[in-house]
Amino acid sequence: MEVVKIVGIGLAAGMLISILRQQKPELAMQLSIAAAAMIFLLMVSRIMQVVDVMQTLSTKARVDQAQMAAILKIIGIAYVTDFGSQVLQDAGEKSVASKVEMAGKILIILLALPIILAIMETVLKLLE
Amino acid sequence: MDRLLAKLIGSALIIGATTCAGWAAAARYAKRPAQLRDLQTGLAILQTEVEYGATPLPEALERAARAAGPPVGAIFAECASRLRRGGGATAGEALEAALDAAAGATYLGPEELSAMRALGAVLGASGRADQIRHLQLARRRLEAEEARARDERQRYERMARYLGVLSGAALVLILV
Amino acid sequence: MDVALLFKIAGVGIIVAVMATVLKQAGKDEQGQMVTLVGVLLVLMMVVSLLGKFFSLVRSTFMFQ
Repeated sequence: MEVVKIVGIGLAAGMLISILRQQKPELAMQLSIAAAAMIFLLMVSRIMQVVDVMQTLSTKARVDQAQMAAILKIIGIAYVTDFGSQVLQDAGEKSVASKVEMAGKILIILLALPIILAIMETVLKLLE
Repeated sequence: MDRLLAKLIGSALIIGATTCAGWAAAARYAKRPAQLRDLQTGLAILQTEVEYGATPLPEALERAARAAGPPVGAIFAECASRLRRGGGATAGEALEAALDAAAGATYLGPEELSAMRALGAVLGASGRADQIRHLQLARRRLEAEEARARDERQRYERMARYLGVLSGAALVLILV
Repeated sequence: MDVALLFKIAGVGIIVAVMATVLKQAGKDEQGQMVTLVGVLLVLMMVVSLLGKFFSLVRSTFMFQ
């Protein structure tokens, strides 16, 4: 059972991190980064499977592939931004975390703009 | 399975080595005060012999050697045996040679060895009162050094032991 | 890329913490800080390669960030 392994790693890491945080918070931060990265690496193949399914479905539904790619990237940005922000907050750096989140939001908006414009065009066309 | 065994043996060796190094350093801190005390005892006996007895130097040195006990006593004993052998060596030269020969087996350091060498310069050479003064001076220097050694021991003995084991574990984690 | 890395990092962290405490108690606080710094750098080296892999995988999974 894959999930047991992942949860096990998470718990073990959590315990070690909480021990470390009392003595050497900087090392605790590194350990949490390492744990999160490792869990992602373990899940990567599954994630790719999900992405593949999404792509097949989207091609079948004749969704614009460029927009599909943009959506995928947005999901990726959201994930990475959240990862960074959470780690920073755990380390007590809330201001840096919020700046990271802000950067993520801006990038997502940038990526989403074409899609939003396309939607607005469609709506305007419908209203004509 | 083989690689795991090799890793385990390697780790055990590394940790063993560093732990032993740590313990050796700790032993040095632990034993030095006692040896400094032994050295003082030997000099005290020597001073008594010079002051109150007319004992010839070699015999006085042998008594000091017995009082000081091994390993420090070996210095006095070696000096005595060199004097007995004859060949015209002065007490100072005999003491020098004795220090070179026997001090390696002790935990005595440069500070007290230089005090002994200074003593050697006057031993058996100048007048009685002068020798007594120099012996007294040497004993005082050793006393101060002993106090320092005790302080060092208190601060560094435990530390050395811990650091030995810990650095071994750290090395194992990094390398293995 | 296995779980051992996590325990290695945690182990190094704990050892460094204990070493720093021992040194501080023996009065050698500066050496303790140095040991801490060295430990942080070592762990950083271990983590950086992991992070590199992580980010390149994110890039490829979510299509070329």
